[in-house]
Amino acid sequence: MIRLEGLLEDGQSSAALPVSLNVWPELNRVVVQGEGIEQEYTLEQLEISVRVGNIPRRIIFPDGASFETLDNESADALLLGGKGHQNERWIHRMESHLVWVLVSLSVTVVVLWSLLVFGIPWMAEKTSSAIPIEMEAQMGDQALESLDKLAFSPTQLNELQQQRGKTLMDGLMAGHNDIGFRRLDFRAMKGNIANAFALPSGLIIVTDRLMELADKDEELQAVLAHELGHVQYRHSLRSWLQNSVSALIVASILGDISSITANVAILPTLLLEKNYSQEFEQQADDFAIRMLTEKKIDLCHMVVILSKLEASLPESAKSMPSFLSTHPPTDKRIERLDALKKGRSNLMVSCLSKP
Amino acid sequence: MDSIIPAPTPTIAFEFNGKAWEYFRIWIVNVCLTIITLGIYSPWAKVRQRRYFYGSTRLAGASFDYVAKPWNILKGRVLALGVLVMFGVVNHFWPIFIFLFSLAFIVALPWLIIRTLRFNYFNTVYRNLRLGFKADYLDALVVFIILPLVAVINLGLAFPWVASQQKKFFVNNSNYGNSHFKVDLTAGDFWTIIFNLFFYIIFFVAIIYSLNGLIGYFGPHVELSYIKSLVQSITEEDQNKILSFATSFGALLFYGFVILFIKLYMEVAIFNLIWNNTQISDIRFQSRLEFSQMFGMYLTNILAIIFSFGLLIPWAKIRVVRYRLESLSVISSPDQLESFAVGQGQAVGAFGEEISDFLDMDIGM
Repeated sequence: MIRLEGLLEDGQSSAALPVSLNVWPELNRVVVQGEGIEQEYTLEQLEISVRVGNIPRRIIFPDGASFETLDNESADALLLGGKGHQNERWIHRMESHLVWVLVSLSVTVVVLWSLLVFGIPWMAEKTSSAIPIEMEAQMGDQALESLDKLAFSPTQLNELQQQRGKTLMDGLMAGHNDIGFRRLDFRAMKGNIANAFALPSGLIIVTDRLMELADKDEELQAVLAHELGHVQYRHSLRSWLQNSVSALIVASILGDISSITANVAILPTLLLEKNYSQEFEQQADDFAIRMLTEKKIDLCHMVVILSKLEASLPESAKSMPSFLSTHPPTDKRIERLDALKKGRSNLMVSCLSKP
Repeated sequence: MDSIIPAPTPTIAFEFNGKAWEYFRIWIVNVCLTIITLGIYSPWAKVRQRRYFYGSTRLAGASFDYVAKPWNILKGRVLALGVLVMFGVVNHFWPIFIFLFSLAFIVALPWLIIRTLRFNYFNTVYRNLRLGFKADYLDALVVFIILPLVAVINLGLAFPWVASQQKKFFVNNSNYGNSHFKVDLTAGDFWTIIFNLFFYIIFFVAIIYSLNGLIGYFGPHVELSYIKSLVQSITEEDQNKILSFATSFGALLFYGFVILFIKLYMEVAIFNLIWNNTQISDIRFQSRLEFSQMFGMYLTNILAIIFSFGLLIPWAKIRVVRYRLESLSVISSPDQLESFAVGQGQAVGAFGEEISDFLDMDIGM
């Protein structure tokens, strides 16, 4: 005989009476016994709730009454004897064996990691080419609009200076109409920072200070070629897709999106974001190298403008540890360029020595 | 023997028996199965998770239970996905109709909210009686669509009033057995919360300013030899790097800190306000949630989650739920808790009844 102690709740009121449930599996007999209570059932009539951890079990009788008990082990024994629903028992078994818990943990870690590192970038690339041009144009305009509010002010460059940039861009674009470039624009940036941006839909923004720094035409061309690389591979759209999707995935898998605390689990994915974009920067550099070589522009100019940019950066940006920075460290980028031009020991020198 | 002073009504506290390690195992198996089934398992995961928390909650010797059928939740999710896909298709091929589609969604929203609440309440069981939710479509339309619009039009000044109306809608339309919950709230209660919050923020800002002033005043004169020796061991360049990195990072942290402060303050104050003014038959509630406790708990939770790459989420969740529940009690004698009766038309027997409802949207309340 199996005997369980618990509470009888009749389903008509909130009264809970202490009773015992006596079960004779071999006789198919179940008797509920308590003060003034004696009811008899057969095993098939019982519906036993699924086990989750060690929360109380509920056994439902056909008349709607239920029996609530903390005695999970005996309830499990009843399940073995009777017909109660067996489904989901294997889940509890997984949850209670350390080996299965560790297996679940490793599967989760491996799947999440490969999703974030390979899956999402791959999906973002595929999706970005499926996004209609008009929609991307809208995104680009919106991005520019919010940058105008947050970081930009109208350019102080005169017609002539702006024309110089546009002419140089036209020169680079000759024979490359398939890149997807839309427009070159100029803005002054708060803090007078030298920078260039490639926004979705082929918008390229160059700041006044950068135009000033890149006083040689070839230097400006090197910068523009790099940004055209971002445009060619639709990096801006892809990184936006990657970042939002990966944050969403981590948040929805690990916890419910609604709670604040679970959301901080996204923070480590920020580090990943930086990796994505360092990869993009390298791709854009490679594109620029190909383009400059094709246009017979010496790569040394790219080295010079990179060094100038590095020198012009405000202290706080320069000192970012490399794992937090969106760009690869400048000396790494220059090293890559150096390696490409074998035979010449120092690119910088080759450029400076020219008239 | 009549006494002039009524005997004090006993309070019965909620108990929470959830354990971090036990829940961790349930959580990680849920996550894993959800991933490898591409999300199809998620309704089962949800039910198991809810049942763990509900089942670990006890009041006067009996525990709560969540009895939703995973299949019903799956049906609801498939339906929601279908609507989303339809939205995408309409947006792509007939962008002109997207306005109509959005309008239809706004019209359906109050109904969706009612259905969702109904589903979740109906599937909550205590002592074999269900909770319930019953509301008019029109009431929901006013509370969730029209009033927020009014609040926007008068620049948010009506917001406290709108918030009080929304909370009343949630509580006053819910029932346990045949007894109805009732909450007394006014816009003034919400104004008080907002004013208190402003007061704290001003206080907080003042402290920071005066601290800044103090450091500015004493800073140069203070000789902290151990810090100095530490600093001297680092080159000047590195010092600058560390300093500037720390300041930019610090600004970000400060921003997050302030947001958490405001959100949590409102949450705690509203939670206490609602429970302390809610009543069902002649039973009242008492909520003693403390903001400082919650704030400390959230800060440590956030750090724990970040540094464990999310593995301590179950621990964090159990901690918060335990604190919330153990701060809550009912002002009632055990006898009163036994005196509720089943409501009309409510299914007898929580498990036996098939429910046609399956909407489950997870709306935050």
